[in-house]
Order: sequence, then C-alpha cells, then structure tokens
Amino acid sequence: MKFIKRPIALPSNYRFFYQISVLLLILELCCTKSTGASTLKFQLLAWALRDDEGCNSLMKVTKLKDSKQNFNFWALDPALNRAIEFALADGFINLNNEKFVSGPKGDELLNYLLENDVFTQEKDILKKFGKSVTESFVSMVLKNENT
Amino acid sequence: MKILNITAIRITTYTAKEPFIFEAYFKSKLNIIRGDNAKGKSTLVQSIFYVLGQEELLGGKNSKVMQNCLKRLIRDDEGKEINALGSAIELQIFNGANEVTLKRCVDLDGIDDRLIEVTFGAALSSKDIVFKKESMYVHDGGGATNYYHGFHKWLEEFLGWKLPSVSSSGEKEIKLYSQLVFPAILIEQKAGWSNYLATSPYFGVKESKKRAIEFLLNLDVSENEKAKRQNAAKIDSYKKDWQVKYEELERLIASDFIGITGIKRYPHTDFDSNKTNLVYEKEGYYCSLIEHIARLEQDLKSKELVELPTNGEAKDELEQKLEELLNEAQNHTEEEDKLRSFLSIEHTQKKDMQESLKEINNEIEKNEGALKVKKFGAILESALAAGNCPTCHQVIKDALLPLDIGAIPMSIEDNVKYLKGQKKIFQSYIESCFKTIVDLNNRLKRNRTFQEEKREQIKAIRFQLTADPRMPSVIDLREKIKLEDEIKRFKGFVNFFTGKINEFEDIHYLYKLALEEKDKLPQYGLSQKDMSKLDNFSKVFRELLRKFKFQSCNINSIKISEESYFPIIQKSELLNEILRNTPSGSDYIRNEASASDFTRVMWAYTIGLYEVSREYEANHPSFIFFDEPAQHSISNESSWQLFYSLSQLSCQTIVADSFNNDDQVFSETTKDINFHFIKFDGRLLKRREIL
Repeated sequence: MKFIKRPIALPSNYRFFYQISVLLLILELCCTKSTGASTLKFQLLAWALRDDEGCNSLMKVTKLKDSKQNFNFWALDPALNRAIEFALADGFINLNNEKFVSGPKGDELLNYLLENDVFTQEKDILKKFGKSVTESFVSMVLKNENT
Repeated sequence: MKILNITAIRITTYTAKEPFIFEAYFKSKLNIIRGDNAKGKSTLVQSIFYVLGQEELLGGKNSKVMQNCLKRLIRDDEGKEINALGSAIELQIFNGANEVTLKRCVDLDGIDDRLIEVTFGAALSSKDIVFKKESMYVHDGGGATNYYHGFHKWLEEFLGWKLPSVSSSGEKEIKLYSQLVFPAILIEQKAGWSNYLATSPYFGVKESKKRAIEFLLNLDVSENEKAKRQNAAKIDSYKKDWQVKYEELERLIASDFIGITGIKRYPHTDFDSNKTNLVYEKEGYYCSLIEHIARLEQDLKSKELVELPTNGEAKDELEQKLEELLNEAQNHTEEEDKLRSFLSIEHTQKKDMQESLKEINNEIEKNEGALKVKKFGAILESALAAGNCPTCHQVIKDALLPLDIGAIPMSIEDNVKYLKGQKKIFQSYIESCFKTIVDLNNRLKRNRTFQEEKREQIKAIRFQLTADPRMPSVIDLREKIKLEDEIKRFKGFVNFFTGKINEFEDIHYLYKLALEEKDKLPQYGLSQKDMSKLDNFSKVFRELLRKFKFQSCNINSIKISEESYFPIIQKSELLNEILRNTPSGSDYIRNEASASDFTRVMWAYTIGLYEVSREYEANHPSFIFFDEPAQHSISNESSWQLFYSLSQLSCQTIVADSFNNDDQVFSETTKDINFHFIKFDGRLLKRREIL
C-alpha cells in the first residue's frame, strides 16, 4: 500500500496576502493614520468580514454605541495573528506605541488595493464601519464578553 | 479653457485679545511661497485644501485635519503660547469671468465646519463693497441637501466642469467626485509625492485615477464606456421584456396542449412573425391550432346531424366507462402526490446549492484578490511574496497554518482553479435542478387538467345513470357543448397570439437596432483623437523629463500607457522600474539617489497633464499647486528647471517651499526667474495690533 500526500485547498483566510490586505484596509478605512489599530481591533473587524450575521449585528451595535445589546459572540482567528507577525517582519506594518500602523511597503500596497478592483466587498463593508469601531469600543465588547 | 486662479487668501485666528492674521495676494503666473520649516507653511497649504472642500486629500473630513494652531494653541514670534478660539479661512478665487470669495471656519463659535460661505465678489481685495452671500455645505449626504446648495456641485459649475457619472464597485453609477480630480492638481507634501494622484480618497469609484485623468484630458473613452453601458442596459431590458411576454404566452400553453413554434424564450435575430404558429399536440396527434379548430368545427357539424341516443340505450356502455374513469382518476391522484414530494425535495436541494455557490463565489473573489496582491507584493520586494520567511529566509508555503500540521497546502493559483472547478459543478447541478422543477411543474399542471376532465366525466356519467332513461343522453349533449366551448376558447387564443406577435415584432425591431448600435461602438475605448492626445502627452512628458535631467532609464522608450494613462517603459510601470533599479533598504524610496528621479517623474506628469489639456481645451482647471517639490534632496539645478518651466506655463502655479531654510538654495534655484514672491518671516500668523 502506498499513500500519496495530495495538496489540500485552503480557506482564503489562511492566505497571507488576503489577510495582509484586510489588515491594511482596516488601517486605512477604520483607523486614523497616526494611532493605528490593536490586535483585538483587527480581530473584531476581520471577524465581521467573515461572518455575515455577525457583521450585521456589529453594525447595529456600533450605531447604538452600546455593546450590551444583541451582541454576544465573536471569534478570534489564529491565522490572523500569524498574518500580523509576518506582516510586521516583512515591513508591511510597524509597531508604534503598542499599536500597529502601516509601514512604507504597506502604503504602496494600500495604494494598489484602493485603486484596483480587488476585495471590493471588504472595502465596502469596512467603509460602512468607518471609524465607528474605536479602541474603547473594542475593549467594551471584550469586557462584556468576560462578564 | 477652464480656469481656476487663487487671487488672495486670509487666515484669521481669534484669541481672547487681538486676532492673528495672515494675508497674501497671488498673481496669475508663478507664485512662490517661502516659509521656514515648522513656521506655518503646512498650515497655509492645508488651509487652501480645506477651504476648497478638498481636505479629504489630506486624509480626513472637516476640521479634524487642520493644525492645532488654528484650533487651540497659537504661538507668537516670541514663542509664547496663547489660547486660540478658532479660525476663519478666506480664499478669493477667479474662474476667468467671475471672482468669488470662499470662507470656511475651523472650530469657531460652534459654526458647523461643513459650512462654506460663498461671497459673490472679491471680498478680500475690495473690502468696502458688500456682496451677496450664500451658505453651502460639504460632505452632506442627508436631508439638508434639499435645503442648502451643495458646495461641490457649485464648485463644479463654477469651474465649468461637467463631471461624468462613473461606475462604482457596487455596479451603480455615481458621479466622479471633484475630490478625485484635485489630487492631479494639488500635490501635497506628506503623501502627494509618493505616486500619481496619491492623495486620491476612496469613494468606491472603480479605477478612480483613470477616470480622473480621462476627465482632465476629456478623453472620448469615458463617453464610449458610458455609451457601451447604456447600450448593454438597453439590450438587457429588451431581453427582459421579451422574456416576460414569452412567459405570458407560455402560461397559456402548458395547460392546454398547445405549443408555440417560431419564438424562443430570448430574443433571436432570425425571428420572423410570419413563421410563428400555435400548434396543437395531444397523444401523438400534431397539427397547427387553426387546422385543429377547423377539425373541431367539422366534428360539431357532424354531431348536429346525428340524433342523440337516450339514456336507457347507453346504460351498459356507460357503466363500463365509469369503471375505467374511476381507475384512471385514482392513478392521477397517486401521481400528483409523487410529483409534489419530488418538487419539494428539488426545491430544498436547489436552495442549498445556491447557498454553497454563493460561498464558493466569495472564496474565488478573495483568492483572486490575494493572488493579485501577491503579484504586486513581488514588486515591493516582499519576502513573503517570494515564498520566504521574512525573518529566517527559509522557504514557507503561502499558508498561515500552524507549523505542526503536516498537510501540503495548494498554491493560490491551484486553489483558484480548484474552486472554479467546484463552481462549474455546482452551477450545472443548479441548472439541472431548475430544469427538473420546470418539468415537474408542467407535469403537475397537466395532471390537474386531466384530473378535472376525468372528474367532470365521472360526474356526468353518474348523473346520467340515475336520470330518466327516456331522456336524450346528457353525455353526448355535454360533449357537444364542450366542443363549442373549446372552439371558442381556441379562437380566443389565436386572436390573443396574433396580437402578441405584433408586440414581439416591436421588441425585435428595437433589439436589432440596439445590436447594430453595439456593432458601431468602437471596440477599444480610445478614439483616434484620444490616441493623439496620449501621443502628445508622451512627447511633452519626455521633453520635460529631459529638461529635468532624468537619468534612471532611456527617455526615448518611455511613453504614456494607453491602458493606465501613466508612464510606462517597455510595458512596465515607470515608477516601479525606478524602484527596482534602486538598491533595496527599509526606507527604500527616500534614501536612494535615483529616488529623486521619482520626483522628476511626478513633476513632468503633473505639468504634462496641464499642457496637453490646454492644447486640446480639455478640463484641466489651469492651476497647479506644488507643496515642497524638491523631494529627496534633488539638485538645485533640477529645481531651477522646475521653477523655470512653471514660470513659462500660461496658467497659475503656486509653489510652497522652505528651500531648506537656506538663502543660498533660494537664490540659486530662482535665479533670473519671473515670479511673484510671498514670504513670511518667522511665523505665518502675526498678531494684528489693535489701533
């Protein structure tokens, strides 16, 4: 008997360049350039991109500015954490005051992302969120999670 | 020729005591603003963007982008800090015919910073005259647009622009915002020099930079694209009309064994109203409906000649027939149940598969995006794009799997192929589901007609068996009436059909016209005139590069791409090419010598855009604003060339520059050049002494 290892198909969130694009788009569309984003903010918004229902309820909650309502679950994606580490090492993002900001390479890539017809769905959703998901909102959500 | 000239500016910052003011007048050709670093030059630049409603180019909306000195703390020349109460920025602009003054506040007296007050006159240079004023709003998507005039709409009219509608990522048509055009004209220091139209904000407009260039050069391509879109929409609507009408006809068919020949579900060019027909088809019997009607009429006539039998005479025959009919009816009911359960299974399956298909489509889009980005990443010299770990440089697969999983992931390319295969399978599944559902529905309908028919016959026979045996047979009587009914109904169909055919003919005519129109539209978007514009642009661009002493590659092989409208050298992007020739480093753009060629390209592109637009009287507003153009320690000689070239243009140009805080740089780079000089010593905003 002989077994051959065949390559397996992967969900897109395990692709480096999908995740780095998401990270950069979050930085551009949902954060201010100087402050950047925390890992948890990345995680929350990236989760909203993967989960239609979650996205809608998060959208509702951000409008109400009250995280206690109708919002009780979100998931952390380990692949995203790995993507953050790689992106940092490859110079797409930098660490500044414990927050991530876009690096020079990241800016170039962002330019490309905004200008071209890629990830339109992601761009539209993140633009809808805009700057309404603040760091304090993220920590508020997290607190509710723990209690 | 579109014109935008800035004739004067005044910035007023209010404090508890006397206000701080900066005031300057501009001339029609080259203006140079000189101010030392960190003394307020950026404040001045940002104020101009802000008051023109273009602050999104600086990366934010409303007064958030503005400097603190206009909002909270201002320093005087002695370095003393004073609380600021807010500021007002006034800008006097001229469009070749009229002069107006714009005023926008920054955190002042609670005035909405989306408000721009337009004064219809030169309020800054003629201070004593009172002009009419109007309040306008920016960034206002809501209800107030009905009430107030939108500023951007007004600005468009003032500049004589007609901004085209362009397609957005949501496949909707939206207007090309002026904020997408201004990045080609106003080049700001922080981000503006990193790429063409680098400060272009994201509004979801597809290929927004291309659209902006098309507009500035007034290329026919945008008209062509629009015509193409409209034509496609027209063809689509005819198809839909046709289909609706066809389905209307179809509803008439399925229950009555009548078929249509000569018309297909979608419009077809070989449609001919003379070759359409209704056909009658039942149990192997096939003829045109008109023929069938004739036959029925014949039948009816023959029945009228024969005398009807009485009930008593037909009894035995009737009992036997009743038995048969009851059996048949039973079979039909059983069949109906079966068909219904099939149908519900098919429906659930279809729904499941459609959902899976949606997921697959999503995944394909994401994977294709990742693939494109990865290819672009290779240009940026990303270790990951090359498949290496950025830290240890070992080969890593393009996957974010934990290291201890031994599986081999597919490459993105294969993954996309794999998903597309899946997509095809699901699509064909769904298609066959649709077909089965249509088929099942037809069979159900037919089944019900049969059942009704049988029930009626059963009822009639039962009635007759219990009726007076001396009476004439009701069955036969009924058959006669049924025949008459059928003839009437079929004739109605024929009339209805002939009426409908005329409608199909109308749609067919329009459809053919639209197809013809489609053929006539140029296949490639660019017209002859567009080509000559781009050709000219290439020439002007090369000429300027030569003047600016561009050295990275052979200037003769550079041209403006007909696809992207940006400079290319042998099919690859010029800027990328310059970057590739630059030895890599972390801050690879800023440190290297050839990076200054990057800047030269930006100069030449921005100026070339104006030159070509002027030559063809296109939409460039004849205004160029450069903030700190001497990027990347460019040589004084090149800077001199820039100033010289700008001073030779027939439009207004404004350059804000610190000249490295060095008088010698200033005198070398501006030697023998004609320009209007605006200089502020010390800080931009000065205390106005109260008299």
